[in-house]
Amino acid sequence: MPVDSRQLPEGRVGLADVCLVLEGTYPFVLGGVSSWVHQLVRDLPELTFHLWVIVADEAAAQRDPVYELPANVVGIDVVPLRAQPRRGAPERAVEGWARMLPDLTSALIGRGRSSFGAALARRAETGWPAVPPRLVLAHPLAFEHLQKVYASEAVHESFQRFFWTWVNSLTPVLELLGAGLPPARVYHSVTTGYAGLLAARARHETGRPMLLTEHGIYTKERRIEVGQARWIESADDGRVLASRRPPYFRQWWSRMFEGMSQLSYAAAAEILTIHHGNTALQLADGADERRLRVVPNGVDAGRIIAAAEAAPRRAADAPFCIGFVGRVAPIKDLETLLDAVALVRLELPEVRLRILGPTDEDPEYCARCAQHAERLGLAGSVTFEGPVDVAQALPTLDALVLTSVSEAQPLVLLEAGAAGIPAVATDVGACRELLQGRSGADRALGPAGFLTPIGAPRATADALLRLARDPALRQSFGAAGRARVTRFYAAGSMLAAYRATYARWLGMGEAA
Amino acid sequence: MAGIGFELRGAVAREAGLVERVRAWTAAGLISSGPWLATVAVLLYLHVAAPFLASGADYAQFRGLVTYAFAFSLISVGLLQMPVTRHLADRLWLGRHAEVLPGFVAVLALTGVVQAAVAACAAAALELPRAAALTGVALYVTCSWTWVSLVWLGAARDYGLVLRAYAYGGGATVLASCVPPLLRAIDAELAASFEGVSGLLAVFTLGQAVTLLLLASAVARGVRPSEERSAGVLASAAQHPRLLALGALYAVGMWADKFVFWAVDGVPLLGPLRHHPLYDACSFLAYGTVVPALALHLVRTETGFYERYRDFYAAITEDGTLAEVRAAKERMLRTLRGSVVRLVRLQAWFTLAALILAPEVLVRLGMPPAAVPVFRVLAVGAYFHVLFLLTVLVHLYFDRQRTALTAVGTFAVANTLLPFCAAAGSPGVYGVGYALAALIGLSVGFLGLLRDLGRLEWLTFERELRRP
Repeated sequence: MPVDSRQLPEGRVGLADVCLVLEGTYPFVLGGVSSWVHQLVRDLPELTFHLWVIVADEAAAQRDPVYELPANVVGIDVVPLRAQPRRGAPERAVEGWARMLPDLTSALIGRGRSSFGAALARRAETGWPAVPPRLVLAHPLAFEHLQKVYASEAVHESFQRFFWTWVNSLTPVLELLGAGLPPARVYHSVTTGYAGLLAARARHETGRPMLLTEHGIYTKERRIEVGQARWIESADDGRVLASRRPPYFRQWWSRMFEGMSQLSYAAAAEILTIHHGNTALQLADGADERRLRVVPNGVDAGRIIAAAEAAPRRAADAPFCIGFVGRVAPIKDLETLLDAVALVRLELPEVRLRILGPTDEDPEYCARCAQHAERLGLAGSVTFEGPVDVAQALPTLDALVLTSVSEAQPLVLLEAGAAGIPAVATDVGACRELLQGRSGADRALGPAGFLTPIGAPRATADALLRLARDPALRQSFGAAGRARVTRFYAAGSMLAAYRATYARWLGMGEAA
Repeated sequence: MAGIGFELRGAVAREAGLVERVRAWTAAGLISSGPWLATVAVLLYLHVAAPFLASGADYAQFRGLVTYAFAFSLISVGLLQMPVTRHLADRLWLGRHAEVLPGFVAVLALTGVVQAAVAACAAAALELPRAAALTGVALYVTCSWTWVSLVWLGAARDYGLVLRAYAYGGGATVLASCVPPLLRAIDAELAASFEGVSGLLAVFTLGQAVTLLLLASAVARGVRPSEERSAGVLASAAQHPRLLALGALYAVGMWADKFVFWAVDGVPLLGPLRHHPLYDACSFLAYGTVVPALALHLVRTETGFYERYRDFYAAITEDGTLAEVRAAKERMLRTLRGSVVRLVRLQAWFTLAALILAPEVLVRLGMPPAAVPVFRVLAVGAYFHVLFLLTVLVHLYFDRQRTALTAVGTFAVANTLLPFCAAAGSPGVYGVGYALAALIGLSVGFLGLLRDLGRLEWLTFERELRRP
């Protein structure tokens, strides 16, 4: 049900061409995927877009967009994954939802992907209203089914943990299946996961085509997150439980996210991704090879080059200045970056690290990073500066650094390339092809930076020191980067590809 | 990276003071019956000693007034009893002893003011003589305060102390009852003012006051004084409307048959007040026969059930598998079943003995032969009643307030309607209304219990999902 359906100014109503299904990104959170979406919507003004945005909870649903919505956005529906429990629901509807659970869980965590359609069809036939997920899960039939699943695969696990894993993993799914469905001609999800599931549901219920774009590989990112989540296996007091509890509950979540991915892949007419590195993972997760396409992202290089040309030249004796551009979030692994800078500082006491990007996404993590910097004695060398205009900021840096444990195709590397700034990045996602080139002609341009392993402060520090001590190397990396971006990553080519893709599917079924 | 974090946390809340709760409910169950029995003994003594103090008519009037004072004070304090019991069990479990005394004082003040006003209005309406009015008001307030003290002491579970307090109170009444005859030898005129209804009331109230003082000072001793706010206990009562209704309904249900008999078949007592000497006397004595069941229940829960009960919840909160949880549940239910069977059997022997010995004992107590059949049916009713009460306590152990309320509500309604029919019949069927009502209450409670215990795992987890 539309818990929060924002009304936009008059004139922005009607059937949207494209319903973009978004999860925790645009238009409420700054970041790579968000800027990509913003660019897509803004630069395809001939199409109308409806935004169907999944957020964590109702507090998040109350936030204001951080982007100014382009005029072709005709509506927004916000769906919180954890809504306040609403009281009262007809008993028959609650029971109906509870009866749907076996098909649903079989689709999500079992191997019965086809039962997803069956579950949705059953719901559509009976026309049950949406009910609070907790009421569904509290129904005796739901508890019976839970015990059946427990008996079939988890008899040696803690029942209470099983129960809560079950409740906490199914609550968002039920919330999504009950959410009001905005009409549109094409549903385009920008991740798999919850958004992919929601788009797959729209595909099943409306018969309209679904498109899927993946930047990072959702299941992989979730696996990393699930791995970092200590509390899955730890008792409340921080004591790690005996190893006779193998990572069953981690597996559960991973299976759940894989299940959602597979349902999204199965429902999508086209699966687009931004770099070749993703396709192998998508195939492994069950995507159909014939529907996979790679559409790399582009940047508006002209603006950045103009800003770089206009900026005053950096003084030769200025202290070596490293920049990080991105959200301060665990997946960026800023601890490794800080460790690396501490190592650099041993040899270059004047070194500066500027952290440029939003710090409000995970304040706890941000505080931890600040503490870590302090412990390393970097208090005077590191600054957290919040979001900045990247084009203006880049010319003030000597090198750009990324130590993420996972990335898709980080735009900031393209932007750094356009600005002529060398980069040091972990060998994840598209970083290798962005810094070293894909094809022969691309590779021939030469490297635009160094690649390092994940979680290796020494390697990062060494790369930074080499750049710091060798201005000529910085120059040649910068030149190669700029040449690569202008030749292979122009913003226009990405937009042209999406314009054509939408055109292919928008009219589907309408002539008939 | 796109995507939203996910929520894995969640644990079955470690139930606040599980064992505290079982104990508190058990004590509440006992306290709703025990002191009444002690009082019946005192009344019996005064009945025997009355010839020295007052005429038979005076005694009947006196007992009628005491009955009214007890009935209405029990029902009005009964409103607070259940929520306060729950509140205290939770407080004590949290180790927040400091909040106990201020709550006590607050409730004493509240009941004192309200009950004194109520009693004063009643005395004025009844046009009682000044001495009788004063002692009547004192008795009503004393009784109310005694019930309040007992609720607090219920949380402390010092049964020995309660027993002693009643023994001293009884002793005080006995001593005081000797004063008027002695006085008469010295100054007949002065003695006359200590005789009659007001004399009996004064003697009886004195004993009750001694009991109250002992109980209240025990509450005060048991806890440290503090500056804590006292609003907690009253707020807690407001938070548990079901418990509020439960306590009041139980007290009303317990007295309903008596009210019906007074109204339909009773004789005038004082002004508009009526009573039914035969039915009243027999039902008080019938309650006396179930003391063994109450005592046994206390012993069984103290020794066996608590442990198993705690084990069951521990199996859940300490990450047991479903098989472990079910095994713990089975052990708990086996203990419970064993206790129930033993209790049903033991109380059956006592009730049977009471039925057989009734003619002998009742005559010795100076009751008419017509009392025997009335008493016998009421004793059977009391047998069902005590089992019904224990069933309700088990509902409360598992926090099944709704089911408990259904059973208690059914009992209250049945014990109002059925005695109407019985009162129209011959004395032989007087008690049938009450006995049937108790049997119906027991059946409803027991069926609810069977259903709930069968799906206890689901109930336990389902409740977690309904927690706000």
